[in-house]
Amino acid sequence: MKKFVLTLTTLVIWNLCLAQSDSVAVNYLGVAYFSEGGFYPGFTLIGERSLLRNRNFEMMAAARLGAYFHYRNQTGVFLMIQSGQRIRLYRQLYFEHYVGVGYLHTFLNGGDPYYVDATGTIHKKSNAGQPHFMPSVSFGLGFNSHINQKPCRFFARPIVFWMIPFNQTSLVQFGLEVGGLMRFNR
Amino acid sequence: MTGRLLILLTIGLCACFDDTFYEGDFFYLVNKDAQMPVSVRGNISSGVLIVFLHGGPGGTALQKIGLKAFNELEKNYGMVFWDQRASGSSQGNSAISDLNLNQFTEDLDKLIDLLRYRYKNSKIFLMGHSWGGCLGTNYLLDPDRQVKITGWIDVDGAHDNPHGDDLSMQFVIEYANQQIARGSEVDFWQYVISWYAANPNFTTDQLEHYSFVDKAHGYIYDPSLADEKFPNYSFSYLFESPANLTASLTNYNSVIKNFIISDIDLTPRMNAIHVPSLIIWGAHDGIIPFPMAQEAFDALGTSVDQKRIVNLANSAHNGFHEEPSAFIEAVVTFVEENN
Repeated sequence: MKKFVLTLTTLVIWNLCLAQSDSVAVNYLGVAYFSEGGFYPGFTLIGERSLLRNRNFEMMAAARLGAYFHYRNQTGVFLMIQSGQRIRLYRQLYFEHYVGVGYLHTFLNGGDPYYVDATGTIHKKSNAGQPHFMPSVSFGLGFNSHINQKPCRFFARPIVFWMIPFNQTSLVQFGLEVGGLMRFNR
Repeated sequence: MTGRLLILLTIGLCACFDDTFYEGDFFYLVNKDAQMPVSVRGNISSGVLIVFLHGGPGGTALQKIGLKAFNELEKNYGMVFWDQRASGSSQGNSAISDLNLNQFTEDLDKLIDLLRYRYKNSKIFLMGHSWGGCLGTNYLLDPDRQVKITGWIDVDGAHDNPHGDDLSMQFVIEYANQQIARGSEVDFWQYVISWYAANPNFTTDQLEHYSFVDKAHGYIYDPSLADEKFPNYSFSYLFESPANLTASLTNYNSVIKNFIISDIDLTPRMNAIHVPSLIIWGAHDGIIPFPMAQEAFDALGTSVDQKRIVNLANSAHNGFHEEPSAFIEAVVTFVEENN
């Protein structure tokens, strides 16, 4: 697991450094539906920067701020940075994949936490949450389009992310992100 | 047109969902870096709470919600489903060193205190299944804790693991010999026998044993007799419940590896337990075979007129699923006698 996390982090940083050598940058902002486990709802606010690109290939850097709500389980709030690539499959259809690292803070959801001290006295506990390191891998399909002649993108990406630590180990979580991005410069 | 499609899609999705897992009260017990979910359901106003102690260690109680037997019991009593430390959908970062019988027992005591605080004047019955039987038995060994409990329901529970494991090994070897004699999967069953020859003192982290017991119908005697799936990974459980399947699997793999219970034998101290007790056991249980029921009965200090064994003739290890009607009848009769 440590090797995996190290590789992932190196890959993200390497891609970001490599990509910044090109000055042709295009920025996108967007929003997406983000679900933990497929149906537990959430959202992400997305900023993406196209760092290198030609007709068939594009290298991206991205930042995501998001949250998900698993009723009676947990609320997760996260911030992650990602590097990714888009490869054209057919006309405006792209295969996309991203690797990322981030910070996830989880809070208990749907019920009060209680603590019982050594004398048996009950105390309601604050729900301050738990910090986690959050590596992630996502892949999916993207589609280039236009709204009011402004370039935009739509995408659907399954995502695998990790909660580290979780009961002295790491927890793999599955999610789905479906959303859109709009270009706001150039 | 697009708008109508979206509305239809939304209605369709909503129709898939039900709120089975979201009924009743829900809160968390927090103790030593463990955040343990507690779901209290059913007829809470009855003044009776039955606390279900799940198996494993590392199993889950939340996944038992919705089983016919427990749905029926919820009509009469409050049912408490608690995922133990680092088990099921429990969260937090519980230390490996806290995966031990004393810590789990302390957690249970805190849960009982919390239930007594939230549901004042309720009578509390413990129902321990499999590993939960070991946990419940250990809890009751302390007289200060025992007074908080009205009755003990031992469902194929573990109290003497060295002996239980020996009987379980004999169960599988006997089944293997029957299969070899019939010419059924001879190579596999010969391998099973050779595995036990090489591992006569196997421990609870050697998962091969569990898979052999399962294949020998030691968990479910006859799946065709039950009218519901078990374990039931329903759409509702997977996508609309407090449970998290990957967390349950991760927790199970961690606990089963780090918390070895093979050497626990509570038998010599069980005469300290005097609460009314019901021992429900599947006659064909292959993981904690039926002779352990009589051993538990004999070891308990409860007077003979306040303890009994119920033998579920067509069940293995999960009588609440395999013979729900007989299970419900036994539990309701016992609770009513002691309420």
